[in-house]
Amino acid sequence: MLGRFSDVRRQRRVAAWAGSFLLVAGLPLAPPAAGATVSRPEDMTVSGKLIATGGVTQVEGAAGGGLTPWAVIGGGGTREEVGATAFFTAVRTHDYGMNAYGALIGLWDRVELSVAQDRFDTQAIGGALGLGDGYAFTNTIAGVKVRVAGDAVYDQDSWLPQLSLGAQYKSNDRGSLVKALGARSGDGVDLYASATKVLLAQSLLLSGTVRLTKANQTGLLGFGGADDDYHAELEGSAALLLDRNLVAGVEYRMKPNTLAHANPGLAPEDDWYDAFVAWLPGKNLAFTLAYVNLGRVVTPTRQNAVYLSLQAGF
Amino acid sequence: MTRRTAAALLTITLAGAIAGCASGPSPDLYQTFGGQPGLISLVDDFMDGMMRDPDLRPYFVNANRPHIKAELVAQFCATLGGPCEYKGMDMKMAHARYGIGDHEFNALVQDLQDAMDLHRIPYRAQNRFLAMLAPYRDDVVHPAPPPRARPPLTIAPDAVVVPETVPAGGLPNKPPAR
Ligand code: HEM
Repeated sequence: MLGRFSDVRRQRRVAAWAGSFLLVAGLPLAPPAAGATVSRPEDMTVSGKLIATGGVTQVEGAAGGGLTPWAVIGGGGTREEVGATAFFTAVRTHDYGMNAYGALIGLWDRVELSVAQDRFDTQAIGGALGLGDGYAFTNTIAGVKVRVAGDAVYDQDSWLPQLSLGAQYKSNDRGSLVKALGARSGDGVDLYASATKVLLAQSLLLSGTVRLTKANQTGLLGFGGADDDYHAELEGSAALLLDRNLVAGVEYRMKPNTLAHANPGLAPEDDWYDAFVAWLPGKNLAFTLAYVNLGRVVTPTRQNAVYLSLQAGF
Repeated sequence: MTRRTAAALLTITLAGAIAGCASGPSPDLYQTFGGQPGLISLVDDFMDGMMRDPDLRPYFVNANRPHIKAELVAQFCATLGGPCEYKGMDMKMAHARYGIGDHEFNALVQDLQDAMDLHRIPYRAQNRFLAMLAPYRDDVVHPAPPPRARPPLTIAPDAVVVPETVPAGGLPNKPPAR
């Protein structure tokens, strides 16, 4: 019965609007006019993005993985919506602690504006260096990211990733101290380009970023050192989509290491890497747990860290 | 963990993910979805889910749902690699006049995921299928007002050439009387 009905419909289409004989035959025409009155709501909608496709928040406040930005625009907003998220991240190494918090808004899946503050606590090392126990550096970061091409999730018929350009202005509250340590400045701007692709058929996410930066330890130890030039650094993530609410992956972030060249008293700055699991129980909530290797930070000890992050938004 | 271990881990993750999972249509994938009976019952549950979804219900409540379901079964079957041919409307034609947005498109994807979960289709197989549907977004979503509110033209728009300057009083030459 159903089959016959669709056959008739099919013939009708083939007969290209020669519907009159069907009318004569007394067959009901499908009601295209009824549908024409439906269209998307005039009222603003929110949180239309698919779960996890806005990423989590990296330490400097941009949507991405934990250490590096992705080309995705944060928040739950689609191309016709606006979204926002707030995050809190705690990183604990053997010797140090860092807390980061901030918020971002995503505008029409096109522009992302973010603010964040990273507070790096030297704990006992601060005392050992004569700065005092618990001496802290605080970096305030304002970021912007613009999607320039592609869509990481939907363009599954091409290899083209989503491409975004971004900038992060960072200002360190210990400007004079970091300069005394050998840095050239207490504030600076990072520029980056990110490419992110979800290979959906493989349940895989790949992302790469090139960052032009002068920052020492992301700016927590100021900007510049032996030179005051921009260095191009690579960052990358690879993640497996384990199910709709679970993503696990690894990340790598290269660093310029110019401060140690200016001040031999400091240990060289190492690249960072991590392995993470992000659990997104709903569209508005994400928890990320990671093991992070920060390498040497000021002292020759390698800093293995536990990283825990919470993100909420719409 | 050294840097080399990290690099090795990364390579293994990538290689495993890419090699371990085919993409595109295949009879296997069609079987994972339970063949024709599986698809019919999947699409039933999918449509039921959409009718419960306040974002989508308005689009389907007055539509010919049995027909749409039959077309969806054929389309899904053909997409997955089953022995079917989709003969329904072109995706652009079927959707353009509704003014569907990303929000609604994604709502539909989630309802489809819910239906696939209900049918215990493995997540990776779901993603292989969704990867083939994702490019339809360009045909289905029109954030701008629907470009076509009228039925398609049955003759080419330039089939009738109107002269640039038509005299105010109409055409001077009346057709010759027979
Ligand atoms: C991947 C996404 C989608 C696919 C594969 C799809 C597939 C289809 C198919 C095969 C038909 C039947 C066409 C025919 O009658 O020959 C159809 C019709 C329809 N679809 Fe979709 N669709 C998608 C997304 C959407 C979305 C997001 C909405 C609404 C929010 C929607 C609303 C409709 C409606 C209302 C009809 C009936 C059209 C009419 O008869 O006037 N579809 N769709």
